[in-house]
Amino acid sequence: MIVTALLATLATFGRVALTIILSIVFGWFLGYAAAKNGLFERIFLSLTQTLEAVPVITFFPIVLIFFIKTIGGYIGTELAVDFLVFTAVVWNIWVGEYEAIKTAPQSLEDATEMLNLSFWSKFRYLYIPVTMPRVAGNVLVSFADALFYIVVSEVVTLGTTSYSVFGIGALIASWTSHGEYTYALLGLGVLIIMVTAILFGILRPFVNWAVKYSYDPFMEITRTRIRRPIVTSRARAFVARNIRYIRRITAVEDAVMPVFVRASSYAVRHRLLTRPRPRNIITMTERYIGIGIITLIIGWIGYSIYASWSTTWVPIIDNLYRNGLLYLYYLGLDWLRVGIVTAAAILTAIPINYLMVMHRRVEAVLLPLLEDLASIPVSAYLPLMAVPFITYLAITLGLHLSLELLVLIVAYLSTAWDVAENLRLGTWQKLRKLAIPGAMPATITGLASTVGSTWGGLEVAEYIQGLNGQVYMVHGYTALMDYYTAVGNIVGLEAMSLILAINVILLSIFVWRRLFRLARERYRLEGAITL
Amino acid sequence: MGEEIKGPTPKLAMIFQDFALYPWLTALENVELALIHRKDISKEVRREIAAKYLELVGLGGFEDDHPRELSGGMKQRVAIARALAAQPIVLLMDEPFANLDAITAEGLRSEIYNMVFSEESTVKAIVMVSHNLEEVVELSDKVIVLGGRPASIIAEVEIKLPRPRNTRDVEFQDYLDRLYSLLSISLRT
Repeated sequence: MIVTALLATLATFGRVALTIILSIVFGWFLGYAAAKNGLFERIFLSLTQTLEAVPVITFFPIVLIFFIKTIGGYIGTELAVDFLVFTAVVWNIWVGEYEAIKTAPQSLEDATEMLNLSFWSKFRYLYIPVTMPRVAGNVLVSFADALFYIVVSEVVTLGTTSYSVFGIGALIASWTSHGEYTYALLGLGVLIIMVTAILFGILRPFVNWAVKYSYDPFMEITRTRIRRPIVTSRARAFVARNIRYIRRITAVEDAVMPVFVRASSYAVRHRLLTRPRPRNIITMTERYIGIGIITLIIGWIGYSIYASWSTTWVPIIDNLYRNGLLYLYYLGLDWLRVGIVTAAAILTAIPINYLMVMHRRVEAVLLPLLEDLASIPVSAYLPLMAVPFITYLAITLGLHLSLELLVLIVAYLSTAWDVAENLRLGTWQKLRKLAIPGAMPATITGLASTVGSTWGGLEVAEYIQGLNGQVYMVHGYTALMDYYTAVGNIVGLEAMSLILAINVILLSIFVWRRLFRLARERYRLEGAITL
Repeated sequence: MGEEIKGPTPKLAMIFQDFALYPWLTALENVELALIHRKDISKEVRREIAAKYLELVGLGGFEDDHPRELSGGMKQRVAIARALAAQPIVLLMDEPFANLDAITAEGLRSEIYNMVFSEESTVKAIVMVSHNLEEVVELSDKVIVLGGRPASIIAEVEIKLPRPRNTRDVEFQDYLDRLYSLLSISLRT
């Protein structure tokens, strides 16, 4: 069983690694194109900002139907899962790479011109290296996000058919639904150990390594001297060697931190002193091309709606006409939940971060713990937690109230680490002194993805399939979508996805874009130095 | 050369105020970058040439150090080696000593002339931008004073002093005074 769990975890991690690597590689070219071309930059920024805030997981049923209908079979399901994870990890990596390339030190860019470097050499020696610190910082976040989404999406029931791919999420779900709790716990244990191993064995060293890619021309590293203890016996030699090793690690960490802080302050100075880089100017030709592309897209959408009017759109509109008010009511309910959870997450994250900022010891203990916790997906242990929780609470509080509580707790768990992560990065930059003001820009830009995570949490928690196919659900938008998915009501699903899409677009136009702009203008300097 | 230069060309090399060294490459690799566009030389030859120029600026033995392990003066030497390795005809220098401490700057100033106009070097002329008048008088043959907004040429001064120049010479001080008065006039207008 352990071997199966191990293999399944490896399969899941393989998917995550593949999507993250693909995102990074594509991001270099897209980020470069956006940093150099005005038209592309505007399209790139609006798309990434909009899609980053979309709770992609809520559209998963539609994505799944698309992939299974067009490709089908195991490969279709596999591609659907990979696609979903891709959409969860890609945006922050892409935006990070774009910003790093956009703010690449002017003198280094000038030097590539002077040295006559070819396009590929420029990438190899300048544009890829400058993105490294941002990539490292974002991979930590993306890893956690990806695991959360992948564990949920590995198994999906559509009508009477259940689609699943081989992975730890599907395995735990299948064990739980068959009542094999020992195996499920075992699987969870394997997952936790592997997450810890990846975090401390690969990702944290990667972050520390990437620090050397931050540009501070006036930085000089202090060489640390390690005293060699006098050794007499073999046992003491062994101890001494290990102590020396630990000392070396702490010495390096102590050396790296100030270097990082100095590099950040250099980035700020660099932005203040060198000529500012506004958005690229759009030329007339580019404007006409842009208008042309938009006209084509609108025309294509118009035609496809016209072509499928009677078969697809009439039933959807009919469905909306009959159930629209209910959908809106449920949407409101879910937004209320998102609001409560986000507020709770921020309120708990601020004191924790304040403590970490003011006391290095607390940080030394809490930080690795938080990072690890953040990466163990709630979706993995939810089925295990939910059944006993509900059975116990249902006796004391009544079923509905306890379900409601569970939903809020799970959504909170899937959000809290996100907020903690965003706040932490902000405070780190502010030289560990100005806790809350320093955290503002990171919090604002992090809010969109945080709300996305909360929606993900709701999607998972509002509708739980327990033992013997018994279903626990509350009144909520994602619960109804899950229900429609399970019973195979595709028209209803399409209608609800449509409402959600409109909701997301409105939100990104009226809320996120404004917040992003505010964060970018008021806190533009800090924006450049997010690790 | 006799032709108008509109963009970067191998005939021009530049020394930057912030050194513009790639922190992820070693000193030797930074110098090698200047030769990467040349397809006619092998990797080994490229390394050899780069090492030769590092030796020329006095950094033999520091080939494998990264820029952050070098002092400010050493970083600027790496940048000079890189510029020379490109075998340019004209060298452009944008306040090359501005980010160095006074003693390091003085040391490098006294050496740079011999480095840049040594036998290995292809450089025929240097155009240097500077606000430090002492360094201007010490290094230049011809000074072009810019002022106003947009900047225009206010004066041209030829410095006819034998090398090496001594900052304490009376003639040196005379040139310095002349440049100061020219500059203060340009600031007033």
